[in-house]
Amino acid sequence: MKLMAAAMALSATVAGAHEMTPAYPQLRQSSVPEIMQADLSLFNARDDVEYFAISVLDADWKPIAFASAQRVMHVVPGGRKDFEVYIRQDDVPRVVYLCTTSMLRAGQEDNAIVSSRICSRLDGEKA
Amino acid sequence: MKNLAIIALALLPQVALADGVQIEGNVQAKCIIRTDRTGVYGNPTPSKLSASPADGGVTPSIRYDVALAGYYIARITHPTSFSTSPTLTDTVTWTGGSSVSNVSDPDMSAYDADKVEYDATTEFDLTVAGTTFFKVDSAAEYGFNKAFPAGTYRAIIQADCIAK
Repeated sequence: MKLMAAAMALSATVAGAHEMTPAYPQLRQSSVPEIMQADLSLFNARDDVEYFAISVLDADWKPIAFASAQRVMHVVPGGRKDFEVYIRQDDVPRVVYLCTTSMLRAGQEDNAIVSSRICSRLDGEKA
Repeated sequence: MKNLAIIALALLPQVALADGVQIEGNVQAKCIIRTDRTGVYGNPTPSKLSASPADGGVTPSIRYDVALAGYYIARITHPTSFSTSPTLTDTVTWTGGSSVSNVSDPDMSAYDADKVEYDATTEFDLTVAGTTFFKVDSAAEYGFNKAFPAGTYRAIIQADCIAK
């Protein structure tokens, strides 16, 4: 059989972690009227990922408009980043999830084949 | 007498510093996703790519750590397309699934029985605090016994941890 390079970038012991807290952030009034703010923290221990995208979603996982200093954050491996997300007061009743997703670079030749996403809930305490 | 007073004053700040040193900790609900082992597609037949060790592949493993019980759902989606591949002119049929491979608490052994599967996604309710390893099976068959073109193939597993 002809040789086929069908590798998913072998690595037997790839270490890396993606962590986001808190699980249930509290929305609070920002310095701008009618804009609410949530404060979160992301820790990146993934060697293979440096960028994380922020998304805000409703109960059906549909996107909701939000603002943040960076929609895609650069967090170096081993680094922690505190970030804020701003949501319109009118959208607050619809908001359920606030997620960060690891971004894999196109054509990346290393081990990044697992895209991780962690979602906190903005609709109050644990259901 | 004067020397004694100077020594006593010099010691005072040190005493105050020693009194103020403390370590604080905070345990809160959080989820950590770790890529424990990425996978390799074996090529047991010209038309098949499989991450199963029986097919010459390496099964990917993803580790979830939750600090408190009952706060998160693990949702793992096995690949349904290649992120990198040569041009493919025929259909690719994907199969796969996720299951528990290792646990830090024996109570987690119920995760497999209680898992919910739909489309390419498997959901596990993380009802026990600790560490769970999930293995993700993935296989792709090309056309009807058609040989995959030579080249590099990659696919992405989506691993989610969602607050309940």
